[in-house]
Amino acid sequence: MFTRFVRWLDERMMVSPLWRDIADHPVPAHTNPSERVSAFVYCFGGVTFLLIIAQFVTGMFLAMDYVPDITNAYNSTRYIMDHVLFGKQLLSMHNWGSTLIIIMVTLHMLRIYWMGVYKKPRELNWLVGVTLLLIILTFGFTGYLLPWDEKAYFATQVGVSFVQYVPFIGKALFNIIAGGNHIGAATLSRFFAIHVLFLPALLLSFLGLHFLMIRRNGITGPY
Amino acid sequence: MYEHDHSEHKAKEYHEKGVVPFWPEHLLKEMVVGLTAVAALFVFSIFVHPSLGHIADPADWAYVPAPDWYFYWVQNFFDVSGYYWSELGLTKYDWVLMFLIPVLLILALYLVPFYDRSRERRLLKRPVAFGLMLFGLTFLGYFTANGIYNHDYLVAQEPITIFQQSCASCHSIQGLGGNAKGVVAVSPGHFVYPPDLTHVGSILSPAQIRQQLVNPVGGMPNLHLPPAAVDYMVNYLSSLK
Repeated sequence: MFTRFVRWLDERMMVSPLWRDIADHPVPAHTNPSERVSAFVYCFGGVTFLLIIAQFVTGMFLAMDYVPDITNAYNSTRYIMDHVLFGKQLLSMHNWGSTLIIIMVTLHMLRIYWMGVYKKPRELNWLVGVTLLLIILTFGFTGYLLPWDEKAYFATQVGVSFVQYVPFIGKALFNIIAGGNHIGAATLSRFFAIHVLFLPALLLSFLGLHFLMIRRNGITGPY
Repeated sequence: MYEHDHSEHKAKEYHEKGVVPFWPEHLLKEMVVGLTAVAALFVFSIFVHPSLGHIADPADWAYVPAPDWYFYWVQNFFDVSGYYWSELGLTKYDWVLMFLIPVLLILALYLVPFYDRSRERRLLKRPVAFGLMLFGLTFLGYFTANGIYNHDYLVAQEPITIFQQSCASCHSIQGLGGNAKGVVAVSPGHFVYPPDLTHVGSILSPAQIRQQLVNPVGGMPNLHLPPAAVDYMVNYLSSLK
């Protein structure tokens, strides 16, 4: 039955070679935690990716009830916490998920660094990786404003004020990011758009590059 | 028949090379680790909920800003270095500290593979890379810890408290505080009256208030307030119109 379905699909889409390519590509046994428990250090990147998927899912459900304007952002966050089915759990997972991702990304980066993985021929993937780190930190920074409580507002005020020191274009840059000369309604809707539209698109593109390069270069062997 | 032979052959070849196919051998086993992490997140989220404070009030100048935990080091690094930067009288070159140095740090991180070029991969045989890593971790750790400490300190020392502890023994605001005798001896026979600060915001500009707090003149002792506390006191005192 399944074989017949695959044949039917192959006659139209030719998916089998793609699938065989993904499924059969060899992975060194020394990266597998069932071979050696210490190989769990090779899992930090993969765990980060899994957590990113979890952030996508919880984030989509949160966006169903969240309203990005200065009166309703706070109230809708309260509403999610108090009235939406499993809302508190969703918000909590999204919040702690970001923390766990930062921890996992740091561990992943440390592993890459101490094993010297970034050396030739993998220099370009290090550049992509650092970019991914900056994207993830920006996710954290923009997401922090969205509940629009005191903590969110004043942390964003401090964070955004740093761009004023960029020579020549500092003031203009502040106005672009904050949507005016202070943190207010425009900042909130901008940060919302950045958090849920711009950054996911960027993140997925760079993750794609990251994984393509891992396929191209393979996983580093033992020393 | 062909399929069967093919996979037998492949399994043998993979085994000899010490590799496993991505699916299902590798992915399923890695998933055990991944799903453990997600399950831990799920269970933790049930028991520990993030807190939601009061709705944002832009006029609340007394609020002590707190970044997310992984940004504490950024805020504290700029607080501390900014303090010494202005002590050195370099405020004109703020862009160096606030823009050039961060950009150079990020560039240094990007360019790691281009200055650590040897074929050696063992960390202990790459002294420069190892040193940079230790420096980086110490840097992050120190400023994170210091940032958290500093934040807790500031929360405890909101401006009114600072005023009561540091200023009220000489100055008064609307009759509260102040020296009963109203005098401070500067030299034999000369006295300075600590001014009433009830309307200080109308008399001195914020910059003058800051100047007086950091480098006091006219008999007032230097209070050695932490930089963030000076900011709070300047805001507070200049609001007293």
